[in-house]
Amino acid sequence: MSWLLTILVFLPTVGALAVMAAPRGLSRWLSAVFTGVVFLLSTWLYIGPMISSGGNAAVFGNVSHPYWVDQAPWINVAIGSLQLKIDYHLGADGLSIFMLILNALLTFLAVLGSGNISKRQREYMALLLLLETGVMGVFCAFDLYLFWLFWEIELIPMFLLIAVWGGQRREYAAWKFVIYTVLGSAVMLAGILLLYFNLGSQTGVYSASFNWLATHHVSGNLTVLGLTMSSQLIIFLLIYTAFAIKLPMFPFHTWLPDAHTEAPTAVSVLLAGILLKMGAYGLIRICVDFMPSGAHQFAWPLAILGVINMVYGGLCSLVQSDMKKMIAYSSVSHMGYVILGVAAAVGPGATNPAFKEAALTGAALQMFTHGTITAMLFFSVGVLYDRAHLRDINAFGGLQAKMPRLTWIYSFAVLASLGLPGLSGFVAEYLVYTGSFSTFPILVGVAAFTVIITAGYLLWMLKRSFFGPLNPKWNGITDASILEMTPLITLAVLVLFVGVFPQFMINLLHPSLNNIIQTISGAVTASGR
Amino acid sequence: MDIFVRDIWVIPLLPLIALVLNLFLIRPLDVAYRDRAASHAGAAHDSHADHSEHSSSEAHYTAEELIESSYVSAIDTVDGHIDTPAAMPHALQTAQQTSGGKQAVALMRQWEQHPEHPHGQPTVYARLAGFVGIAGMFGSFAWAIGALFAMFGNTALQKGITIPLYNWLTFGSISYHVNFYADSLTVVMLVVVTAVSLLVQFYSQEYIESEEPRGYARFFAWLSLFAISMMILTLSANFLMIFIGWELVGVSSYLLIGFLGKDAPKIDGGRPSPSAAALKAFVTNRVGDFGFLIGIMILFAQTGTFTFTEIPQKLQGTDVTLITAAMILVFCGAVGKSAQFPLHVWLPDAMEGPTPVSALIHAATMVAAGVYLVARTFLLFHSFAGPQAAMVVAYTGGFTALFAALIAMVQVDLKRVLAYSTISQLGYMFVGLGVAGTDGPGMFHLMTHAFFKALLFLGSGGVLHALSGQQNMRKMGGLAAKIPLVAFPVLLATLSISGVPFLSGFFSKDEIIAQTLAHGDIALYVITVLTAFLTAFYMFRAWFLTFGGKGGAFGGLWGGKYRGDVHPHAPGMRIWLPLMLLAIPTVFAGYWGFAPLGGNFNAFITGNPAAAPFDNPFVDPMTYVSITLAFLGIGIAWLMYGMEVIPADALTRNPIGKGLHALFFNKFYVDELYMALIRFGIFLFAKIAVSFDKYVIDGIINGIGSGVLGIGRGLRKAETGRLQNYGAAFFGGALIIAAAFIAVVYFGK
Amino acid sequence: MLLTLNSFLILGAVLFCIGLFGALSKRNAVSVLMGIEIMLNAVNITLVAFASSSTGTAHGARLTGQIFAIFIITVAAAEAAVALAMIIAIYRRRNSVDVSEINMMKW
Repeated sequence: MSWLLTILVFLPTVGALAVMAAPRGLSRWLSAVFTGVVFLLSTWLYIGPMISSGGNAAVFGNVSHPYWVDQAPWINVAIGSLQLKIDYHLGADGLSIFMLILNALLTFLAVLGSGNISKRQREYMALLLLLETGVMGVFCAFDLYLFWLFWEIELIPMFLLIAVWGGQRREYAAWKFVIYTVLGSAVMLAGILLLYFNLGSQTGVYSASFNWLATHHVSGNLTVLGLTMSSQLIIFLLIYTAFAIKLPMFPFHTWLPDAHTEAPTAVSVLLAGILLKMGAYGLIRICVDFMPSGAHQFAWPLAILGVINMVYGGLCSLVQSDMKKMIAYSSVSHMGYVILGVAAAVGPGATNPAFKEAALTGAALQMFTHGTITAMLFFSVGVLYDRAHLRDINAFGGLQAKMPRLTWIYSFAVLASLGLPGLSGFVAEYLVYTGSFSTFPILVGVAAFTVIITAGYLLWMLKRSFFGPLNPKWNGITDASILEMTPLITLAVLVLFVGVFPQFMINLLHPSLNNIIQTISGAVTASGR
Repeated sequence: MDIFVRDIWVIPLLPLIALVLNLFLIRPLDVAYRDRAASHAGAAHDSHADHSEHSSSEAHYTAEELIESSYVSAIDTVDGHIDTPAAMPHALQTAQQTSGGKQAVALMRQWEQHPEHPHGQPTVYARLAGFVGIAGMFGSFAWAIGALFAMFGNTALQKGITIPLYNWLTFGSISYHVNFYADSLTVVMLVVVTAVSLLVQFYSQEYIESEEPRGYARFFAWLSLFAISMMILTLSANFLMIFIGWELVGVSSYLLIGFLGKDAPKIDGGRPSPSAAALKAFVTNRVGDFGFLIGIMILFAQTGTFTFTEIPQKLQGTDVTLITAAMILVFCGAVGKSAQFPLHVWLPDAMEGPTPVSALIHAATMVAAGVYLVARTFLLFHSFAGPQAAMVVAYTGGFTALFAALIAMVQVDLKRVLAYSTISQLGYMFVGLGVAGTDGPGMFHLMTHAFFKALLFLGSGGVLHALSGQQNMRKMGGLAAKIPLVAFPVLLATLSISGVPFLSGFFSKDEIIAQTLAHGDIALYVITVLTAFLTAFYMFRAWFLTFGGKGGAFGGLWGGKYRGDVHPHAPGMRIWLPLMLLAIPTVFAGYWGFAPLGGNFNAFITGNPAAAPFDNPFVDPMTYVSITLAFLGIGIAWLMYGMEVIPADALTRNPIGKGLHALFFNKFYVDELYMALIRFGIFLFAKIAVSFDKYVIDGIINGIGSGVLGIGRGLRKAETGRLQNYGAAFFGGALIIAAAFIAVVYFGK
Repeated sequence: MLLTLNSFLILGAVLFCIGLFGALSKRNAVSVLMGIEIMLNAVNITLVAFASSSTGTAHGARLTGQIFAIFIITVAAAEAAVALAMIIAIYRRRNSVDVSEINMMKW
């Protein structure tokens, strides 16, 4: 047992307590120190195995054999033949490490980028740290119940962060967020219980551990309301509902524009950068890996919904006048790539598993890509909002003349977001497109339409706000400060690096994703489809 | 010599170094220097204001002298427009009024260094950025020339070698490689790109210095970025790389078109603002990329590889219809990038960018990328896809050539005429690629066109520079006598594009026209010959309106009446030297394809020494038809605009002529049609989507929400907040349970 | 009349009902407190009655109820002390001991 994961999960909690105990003036620095330490520790998740294995990427392992494990028995109750067993089981393979590092980084940057918070700064920082605990837990929980627990923990700080520090309609947005999410969680819990007890009664072993679930799949049919479906499909749908809301997938996406618009900058960053990824992570890690044939049966609807997400989100972005809302809808559009990639990975026509892995890798990479790029976009809009207290695209104009630095970095983020080669967005999109095409040719053809819309709304926004003649109203506006530029430049470097050398990320993901592809093809072959 | 080919990655590396240096070292220095100068000027102003009273006795300069010496720089002599004194710093005026002395002059000097000064000079760092960019480009050019000579007579190299760089990723049997590939096609394209880039960068020094001194360093950085992107595109070994280069040149073009974006939109003649033009260019290109991407995906799904050299092997036995569809989709990308109908609309607007950019990107190199793409995948078009694919290429090209030539006939904006002429000439190249058995004729025209069109654009830039931005040809005329160093090379290029024998444009264009006949396609032959006639006409119309006119030498060919109101001023060496250098290939490049002198471009480009050279145009009787038509076009233009014996509105007096004129002048209303489509198509959908979100989905959610709240409001009345009521309810409940329990226990049995 | 177990239980039940009625119906906080005291003592009576009538043979079987009763008396004393202190505090502040008016903590 190594303690690293436990430390990563609970160090932020300690930090939250420390921030609450320390004098108000220290809260920002203290939280920066804590999140910074967590980030540094999280990089060891990658560096450690790389050193110990001499650079062999296979060392990260997969869901059955993750490199990092923290395990201890926790609750074990037997009632008759039923057994309720919840372990404190943390683990991290490539996919988890990827998300853990991203989370640590973005939380650190969010703390750095929260200098503008003046209202109850101490509580704000403590909640950010608490949020980090919840999300860290989600990404490295290797027990389904524990996963659910962390999934719920994350909700509370997020609700408070939006409801207390948000914009004018913050309460509406916060409640909408909570109700959507809790609804999803309730359904997910039902799915988890169904999976746990069904699998338990079929195999005789009651365990919610990921290693067990990944290697033993539910079989048979279940009858719900007179409708007989395969158990895997039902469980898939129940659990996926929570992820679909989080992703967010059409038609469960309407909480996102509201939450994004009302949340303070750093919280928007975390919301887009991390919270949405929890849905994507859950979809890949839990839904696909534990219910492969259920996912396979649902592949077509999943792909269609993914494409709807992409096109619909893009169209909605086109007519938004609020910058944050536009970015929020662009998130909907971009998360569609994840759904499409996963759908292609589980989809019919297993001619060449390499294509499927390309699609799945694209989906996973899109999580990173969208997290970093959207974070950049939100940070930039935050800089603008702090000065102008406006987010209306048409209210600006010609800001380039007054804010060259911000224009620079914002244009960079916009270009990255629309998939400029050399930046990470392109890698993810290209992989998803080329990987999915052999599975869903027509759908991907429709989806490719997004490349036009995305360029349209993003560049149009840039043109209206930053180029053209300067709106004299903003004559006195000042450029972004060095502190404000720090998170933006960090992310830009990352986006550029991954765009040019994606191999670095792919190495990390490959063992996990390859294992998932094999699970799927095994399940599909077994079911005779 | 082989090293020039084997290490061809040096070519993009050198501009990359220049880009990095300019962007991250020199430009920050430039900005910091200007900031310091600005604050220094401010500080100087303060100290001088304090001492102005004491220094009044030292006045050596009268107000007139002041105006002569320094104030003159604030007066735009060429524009005839004087910056109002109010635009000058207030301090300056006070200093002038109170002392009128040395301090004021010193202040003036500092004001000239001030970043807000309208006609300031680039700083020393900005100039350094220019030198770095040019040096990098020169290295690339030299290397490209080396590679060209290495390929001469080396058939193995001409057929191409792969230069692996690194591996993006590999999954099982499929890989995404980042590889370069160099064959004769690549090298020809690279020579064109580096040569034109080098000259344009050299030219830009003077041009940008007067247009936008503050963006000097940035401009050179973006030019380097473009060069790198174009080289990646040219050197790509697979569809992944070519798509990367494809998008990168699109972005460079976006950045450079919008380079003057902070200026207010230029209202005259309904011209779009630079930023709007940049947006339009990018999005229109994306429409083409949409097809391109799907085409790539079809090929990839069929073969599992992106590599150009591997795809043909793996495509054996694939359904021809599918490949035809894929190739037509790939061609969509070329249509977007090379501004062919129906995606041509962005190129004329792109002329809002600085003129050197128009010359480099929107005339010589980037727009030719579509042609290059088809040439690169020539085998797939002609040997694997059905004949429909090549026909689509040829007819799109032919139609566009004629269509754009018709529009170019009636435009009054000099740069627009050249833009439509570019579209038209690119159409020729596609005709050449569509009908010929090799990619030779198309690429040959690409090469010659790159030189003479770059020359024409740089020449028009010289005119614009001389007239401080005037683009309307009605405000020009007779300029040949005033700026002969610009006019002479431009005349050569105009003759060349018009198809006058012995110049490069004649050889390449005539080869394409001959190929349409050889292919037996009479319709295309008629279209291309007609377009050649129109080209000669509109190019000389432009020439006479700009440089010639009634009263000039040689019957109005050289000089004439000047109609403008701005005093033309002669450009410097940095502007006319590149023009002169470009005039050399404009005249001689055609002889590479002239068989009687031993030129065999075809053999070089195909890497097959046995390939037949282009036909000698002078032995083919049909050539004389096109030569006659070219001279006819020139003659009509001469009569109408040079000697003015035929009135210019001769054809538009009748209603049909008038209607056609309006149709051509308004570019067949394609822009209006697209705007309507966007407004009533895309935006309508978008609004429906948003309303669906707002009313249907959120309606349901909020409905559920308010339903729950309503129930809650009803039940809330039970919560009185009084503990005693709760206690009563509690014990009442306990009582009911107890009663029920007793009832079950006693009466249940 | 013989005092059987039932007599004590009936006494306990009657006292409990009286106390309950007092606790629920009175508005004066002191009266409510008295009602609660009566209820506690009703329970005490019941506990002691059960204890003394127990026939259990296990160790301490007949003592358990009585020990509980002593516990309750102790707790009741503490409770009375705390409650009266609170009532006095509230009276000082608001000049009233009406429970319907003490609703500051209602959300």
